[in-house]
Amino acid sequence: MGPEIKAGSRENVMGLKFLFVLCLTLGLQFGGLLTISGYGQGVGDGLSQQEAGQVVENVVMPYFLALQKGDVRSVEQLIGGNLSMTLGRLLNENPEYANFLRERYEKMQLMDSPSVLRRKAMDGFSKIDEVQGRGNIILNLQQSDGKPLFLQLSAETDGDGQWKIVDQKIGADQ
Amino acid sequence: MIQSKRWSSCFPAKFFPYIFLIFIFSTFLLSVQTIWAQTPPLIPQNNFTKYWVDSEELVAENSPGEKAFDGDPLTHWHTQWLNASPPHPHSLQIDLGAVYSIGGIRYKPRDPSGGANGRIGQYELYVAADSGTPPTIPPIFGQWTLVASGSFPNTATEQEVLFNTVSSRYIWLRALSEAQNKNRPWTTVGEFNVLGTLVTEQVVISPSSAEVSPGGQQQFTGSGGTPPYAFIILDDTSGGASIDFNTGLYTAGPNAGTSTIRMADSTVPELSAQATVTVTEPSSGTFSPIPQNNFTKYWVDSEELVAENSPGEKAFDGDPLTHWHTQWLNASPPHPHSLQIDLGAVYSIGGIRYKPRDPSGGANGRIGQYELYVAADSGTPPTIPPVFGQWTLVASGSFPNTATEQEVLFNTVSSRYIWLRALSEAQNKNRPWTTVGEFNVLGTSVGGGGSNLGISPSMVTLAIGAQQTFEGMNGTPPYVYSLVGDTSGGATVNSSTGLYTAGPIAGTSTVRVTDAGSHTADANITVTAEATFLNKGGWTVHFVNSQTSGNPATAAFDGNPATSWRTTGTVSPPHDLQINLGNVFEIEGFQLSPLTPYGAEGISFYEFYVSKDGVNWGMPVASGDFANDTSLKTRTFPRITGQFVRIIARGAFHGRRSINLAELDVIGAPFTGNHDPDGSITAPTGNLTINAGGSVSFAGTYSDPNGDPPGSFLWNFGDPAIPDATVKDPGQITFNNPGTYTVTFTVSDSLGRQDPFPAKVVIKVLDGPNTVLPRGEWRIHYVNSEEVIQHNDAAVNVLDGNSSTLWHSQWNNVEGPHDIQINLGSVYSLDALRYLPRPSGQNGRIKRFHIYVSEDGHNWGQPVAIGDFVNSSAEQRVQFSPKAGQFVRVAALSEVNNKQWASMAELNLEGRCRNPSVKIHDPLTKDVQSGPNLKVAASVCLTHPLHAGWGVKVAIDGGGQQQTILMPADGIIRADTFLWTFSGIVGDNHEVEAFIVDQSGNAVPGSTTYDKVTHVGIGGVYGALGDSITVGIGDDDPTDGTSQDGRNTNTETGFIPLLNDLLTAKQGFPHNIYNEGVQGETSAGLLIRAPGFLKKRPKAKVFLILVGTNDASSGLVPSGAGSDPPAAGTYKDNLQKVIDLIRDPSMGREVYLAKVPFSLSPAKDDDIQGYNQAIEELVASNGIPLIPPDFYSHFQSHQSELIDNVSHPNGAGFRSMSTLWCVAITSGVCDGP
Repeated sequence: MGPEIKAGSRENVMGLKFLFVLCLTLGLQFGGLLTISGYGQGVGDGLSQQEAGQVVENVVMPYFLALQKGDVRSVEQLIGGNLSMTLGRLLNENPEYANFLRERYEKMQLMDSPSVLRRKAMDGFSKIDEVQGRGNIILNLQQSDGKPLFLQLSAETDGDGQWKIVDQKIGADQ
Repeated sequence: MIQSKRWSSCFPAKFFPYIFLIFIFSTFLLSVQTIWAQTPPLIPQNNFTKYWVDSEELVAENSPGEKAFDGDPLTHWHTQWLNASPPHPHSLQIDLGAVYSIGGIRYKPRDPSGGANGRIGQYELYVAADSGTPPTIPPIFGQWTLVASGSFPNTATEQEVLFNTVSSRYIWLRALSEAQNKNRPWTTVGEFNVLGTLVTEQVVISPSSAEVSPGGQQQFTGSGGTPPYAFIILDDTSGGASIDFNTGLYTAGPNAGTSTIRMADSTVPELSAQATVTVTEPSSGTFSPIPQNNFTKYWVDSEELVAENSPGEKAFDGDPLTHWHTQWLNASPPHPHSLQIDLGAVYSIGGIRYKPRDPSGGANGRIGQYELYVAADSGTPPTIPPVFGQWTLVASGSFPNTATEQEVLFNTVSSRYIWLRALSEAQNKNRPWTTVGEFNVLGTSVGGGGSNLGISPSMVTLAIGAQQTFEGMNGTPPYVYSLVGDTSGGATVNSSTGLYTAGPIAGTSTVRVTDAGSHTADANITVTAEATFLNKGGWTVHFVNSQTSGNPATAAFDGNPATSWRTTGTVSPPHDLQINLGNVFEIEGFQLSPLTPYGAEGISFYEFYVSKDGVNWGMPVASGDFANDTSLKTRTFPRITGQFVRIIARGAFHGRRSINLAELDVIGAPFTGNHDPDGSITAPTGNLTINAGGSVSFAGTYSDPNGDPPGSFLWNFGDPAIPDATVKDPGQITFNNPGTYTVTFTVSDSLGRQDPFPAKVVIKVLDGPNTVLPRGEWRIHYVNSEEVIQHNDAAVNVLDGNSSTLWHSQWNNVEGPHDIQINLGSVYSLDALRYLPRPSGQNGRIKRFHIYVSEDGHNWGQPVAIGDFVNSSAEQRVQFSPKAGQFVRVAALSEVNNKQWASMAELNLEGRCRNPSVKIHDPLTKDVQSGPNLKVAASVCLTHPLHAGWGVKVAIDGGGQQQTILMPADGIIRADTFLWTFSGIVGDNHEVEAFIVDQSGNAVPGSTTYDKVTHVGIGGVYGALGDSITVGIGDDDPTDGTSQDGRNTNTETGFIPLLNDLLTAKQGFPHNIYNEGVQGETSAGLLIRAPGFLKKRPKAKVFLILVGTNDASSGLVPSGAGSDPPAAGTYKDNLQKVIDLIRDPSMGREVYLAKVPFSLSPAKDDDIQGYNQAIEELVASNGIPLIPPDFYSHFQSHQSELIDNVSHPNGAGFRSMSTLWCVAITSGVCDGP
C-alpha cells in the first residue's frame, strides 16, 4: 500500500503539467536528435501535401486521362525510364496505338478522389534529395462490367527533377 | 498512485524555473548536436582490412568481404550461396587501420545490373569499445558498442547513416534481414564507407603483424602523430633481426621466431605503437616423415591399459583411429604428460606432426600447451626418468582445439630421441589427460654414425681461466677430447669429460673430439682478458643528434663526472650518441653516471647497441628503464665484439626534452681473436640506374686487421639469371631483366672468417623510356553501350586516331556505370593509360574511373588505378604500377556533370612486352564450343629480335593433336596471329595446353611459358534470353542450382542448370547455357538489349527466348497477332526483329521461342493468349524448327507450381520447364531430374 495522494491537488496538477511539457520538449528535442543525427539515414523523406498534390495533378491524373483518350503525345511526355523504352515505338511508329489505348482504358473509371490520391502519393512517394525521388501509387479502377481493377504506377524524377511514370502494372488483385 | 506520488514529489511547481532552464539547455544541446551532425569525411579504404566476416561466396563468384571496401561498386561482398546459404544475421567487421573518430557510414548496395539479392534491410552498426585491444573473434557483444540501427530501403542508391561520433578502430556491420522482404538469406554490399577523422593523438604502425621467412624483409610504415617515426626492435627470437631506425625496413634473423617492433613518434616518443613479426621456417617440403616402423617407445609417464588398450605405441602405429591415452580409469595423473620415442637412428630433425585423436571418440586429451625436446647427446641413451639437462628444447607452443593435424617446424637438429611433453589440454576444461592419434617426426637421415661427428659448442669466447665443457655428438662413443692448439698460456682439457680450462692470458685454443671410429671435430675458443672499464683515451664521437656548446657529447666520456653531455631544449627525444672506441673490444656492459647534483633531465628509457662498423647496429644488446635517481646505472649483457657503442635515450623524466649524461663507461676486454675481414666495392662507386641490356663494371677491395690473406670472394648480383662471381674484380656484368637488384660483395679470410657486413650497391634496371603502344592490332573486347543509331559513336572510334570521332554510350535509356574493354592482341607490361576526352561538348566526359588490366579478359582483379578525370578536353594520363595483360578495361563510374553518359575520343596505353609468356584466353576451363572444330586463342609476349624463331605450341589432350605457330618474321604479333583451329574434335571434354617453344621447338622453361585449360567441352552452346523467369526468380529449391558439370550455376537456380543436365545426358556431349535473363524484361527491352547479348556471347549458337509476362503486366503492349507484317512496337513485331538479329545469315545461329506462361492474374490472360498466338504465327512464318514448349498450358494445369501472379514458378515448376524445353529441343523423351 502506497501513500494516498489527492488527485485534485493543485500542486500535483501543476507538476504533471510541467512534467508533461518537459517530457514533450525533451522527447521532441532528443527524439528528433536521435532520429536525425543519431540514427537517421537522410533518405526516404516523404512528400509534403503540396508536393504530393502536384504529382497527382501534374502527372498521375494527366497520365490516366491520356490513356483513356489515347493521347499518345501526352503519354509520351509523361513517361520515362523503362516505360519509354517499352512504349517508344508504339507511341511513335504505330498509328493504331491511340485506338488500342482508348479501347482498353476509355471505359475504366477512376474510383479514387483527388484527396485520396494525394494521401496515397504522400505515403507512396519519397524524395532522395532535392531533385531525386521515386515511389509507387495504386489507382483503384472499375471496369465497365463493374469489376475492380488496380493500376500500379511507378514514378521517378528525371534529371531535371520532373516526375515521370516509369512503369505500370495492371491487375485484378494487389 | 505510486507513480503519481513520484512525479509530484520530483517535479513540484516551485521547480518550474529549473525545468525552464532544462528546456533551454536541451535546446542548446540540440544546436550543438546539429553542429556535430555535419557529415564527416570518408576514411580512406586503402588501410581497411577485413577483420572478420561470417560468410562469403568464394566458389560461384569471388565475392569475399574485402569487395565491400575495394572502391569498386561493380564488385560486392556476397554471403555464401552456392554450397550453402547460412541465414541472417550476417556480419562484416572491418579494421580501419587506425583509430578514427567515426560519425557515420555509407552503404552502397550491390550493382543493380546483377540484381537486388542481398540488399540489406534491417541493420545494426557497432564499433569496438576498446580500440587498443583487437576484439575477440568470433565476436563477443560485450566488446562492441551499438552506435546505430535501422532499416535500409530496397534501393540501389547509396545510403548514409550518421551517428554520434565515437572513437574506434573497428567497425561491425550486422545485417539482420534483406531489403527485398522475400526472406532470402543473403547479404550483399557493393561498397561500404566509413565517415570520420583520424584521431591524431594516436600513432599506428602498419602492418600491425607480418609473417616473413628467415632473412626476409618487411617494410613498416607509420601514421598519425608527427612523422618521421623511429623504429626499433623490442624483442627478437629469430637470431638477430634488424630494422632501419628511420625507414622501418625490417630484416628477419636467420631462425624461426618472433620479433616485436616498436614505432615511436619523433616528437612525442611516448606515442608509440607495436607490431609483431612471425619469422617462419620454410615449409616442411625439405623434410619428410621419418618411417615410424623403426620407432620404439623409449619412455611414457602414463598409459591407459585397462579400460582401453592405449599405450604410447599407439601414437606411432600409423593408424589415426587408435591413440595413446594417459591413464583415466583407476587414476588420472595430472599434467605434464610425456612420451619419449627412440627413432632407431640419428636423424636431422626439423619438425613434427601431431594428429589429435579421432574426433568421433571425443576431444578429451587433445594437447594444448606443449614442449618438444631432443636428446642432446645421441651417442648416450638418455636417463629414465628424464633429466632435463640431457635434453634440448627445440620448440614449444600451443595447439588449437581441433582435430586437424598440426605441424611444428624448428631449426634442424641431429638426434635419435625425441620427447613430446604435453603441459595442458586444448579444451581448456582442466582435464588431466593427454591423447595422441598419430605423432610423426619430420627429418632426414644423417647416415652412419661418425661421418657426422660434431662438437658442441663449436665456437665460444671465454674469459681468462674460464671453463667450458665440450661434447661430441652424432658420432660413435666413446669420445676422447684433446687440445690441439693453444695461445692462452696453458689451457687444459679433460680427455674423457671434455672440460676445458682457459689459460691465464688472452689467446685462442682448439679442442678436438675423436670418436670410436677415429673421426674428429674441432671447437675454436677465443680467450679474452677479464672485463674491465675500458680506457677512454682513444674514444671519439661517431655521431650525436644534439649537444650544447657548454655540454658537448665528449663530456660523456671525459672522465669528469662534473661535466656532462646535454642536448638542446628544442629537440625532443630520442637522443642518439654513438662513440667510436678506437679499437675492437669484447664488450659485455656499460655504466652510466647521471649528473650530480641531480637535475630533472635523466634518461628514462634507453637502448644500448654495439656495432663493428658504426653502420650496422642490429638490435639493442640492452634496453629498458632507468631509475629516477642519481645512482650509477650498470647494465651487462653477453659478450659481443665491436668497436662502436651507441646509447639512445628514448625519453627523459618528467616529459623533458633535454637529457643530461655525466659519464658513460664501457665494460669489456680487448679483442684477441681473429678480426673480421672487410670487403668494399670500388666500382661502381655508388648506386646506378641503367636500361635493360646495359652493363656495369664491378671491382672490389679486401682488407683484414690481422693481415690474414683473403680466402674467398663472392659477388651476388641480385638477378637470379646472373651467376655469382668468385673473383675480386669480376669486370663487366650485363643486366637484361628490368628490376632493382642489390649486389653484394662478401669476402672471407684464409681462416674462413667472413665479413659480417658485405659491401652492397644497388643497380636499378629500367625497361627503358615509356612507350606509347601501337594500336594497329587492338580490338574492342566489350562495351556495355554505344550509340550507333542516332550517330556513329561506336566504341571502335577510340582506336581510330581521329580525335573528332567518339565513343559515346547510347543517348537514351542506358544508365551508367559504363564499361569499355580493349583487346591489345598480345601481352604487355602496362603502366599508364591516356584518356582523350571529347574535344567539344561535355556530355559523357568521364569523371570517376576505374582502370583494370587482365590477362584473359575475364578475370580483372583489383583496379590498377582509381581516380577522377578533370572536365577538360586535354589528354589525361594515369600512371599505375606495371601489370602484365592483354586486356584493358575502363569503367566509367560517373560523368563530369553527373549525367548518365560516358564518352571518349581516344584511348592510348603505355607499356612494353617483356618476358616470354603465353596465356590461353579462349577457351577457358569449362568453356564449351560448338564442334567439331576447336578454336584456341592465346595472349603471347615474344620480343623481336630476341625471340626470333620462337613460337607457341598448342596440344590437345596431351598431344593427340598439336600445332605450333611461330612469331611472325617482322616481330609484330597481331590479334589473329596466335589462333589455332583443331578439326574433328569429338563432342566431349578436352584439355588444352600451350607452350612457348624456342627455335628448335623445345619448350622454354619458366613460370609464364606454359598454360593449360581443362574441361573444355565440344558440344552445345545456348543463350537463354528472357525475364525474371529465365533469371530463376521464385525457385525455392536450392539443391539443383548448379549443373552436374559445374558449368551452369545460378543465384536463383531456375531451369537452366537442370536443362543443361538433361541435354548433356540426352545428347551425350557437354552443354553450356548462358543465362541472359533480365528482371522486368519486355519484348521491347529484349529488342534493345539483344545486340549486346549477341556480342557478349559469340559462342552461343542457339538462343532460347521466353518473354511476355511483363508486357502483359503493363497492360500497354498489343500482341500484333493476326497481322503480317505486325504493327510497329507490338509484341509480335518486337520478337520478329529479335529473330532477324539472331538469324543473321553470316552467324549460323538459331532461335527457339517458348510460349508465355499462364498467369494467376486474370487481368493479364487476354494479353498472354494474344502473345502466344503471335508466337505460333512467328514460328510458322519464320520456319523455326521447334515446337514451342507450351508453358501456358502446363502451368494452367499445374497451378501449384506457380508462386505468384507474375507467373514465377517454384522449384517444381522450374523442373517442369527444363523438361519441356528439353523435350522440345530433342524431340524426344527427357527424364526429369
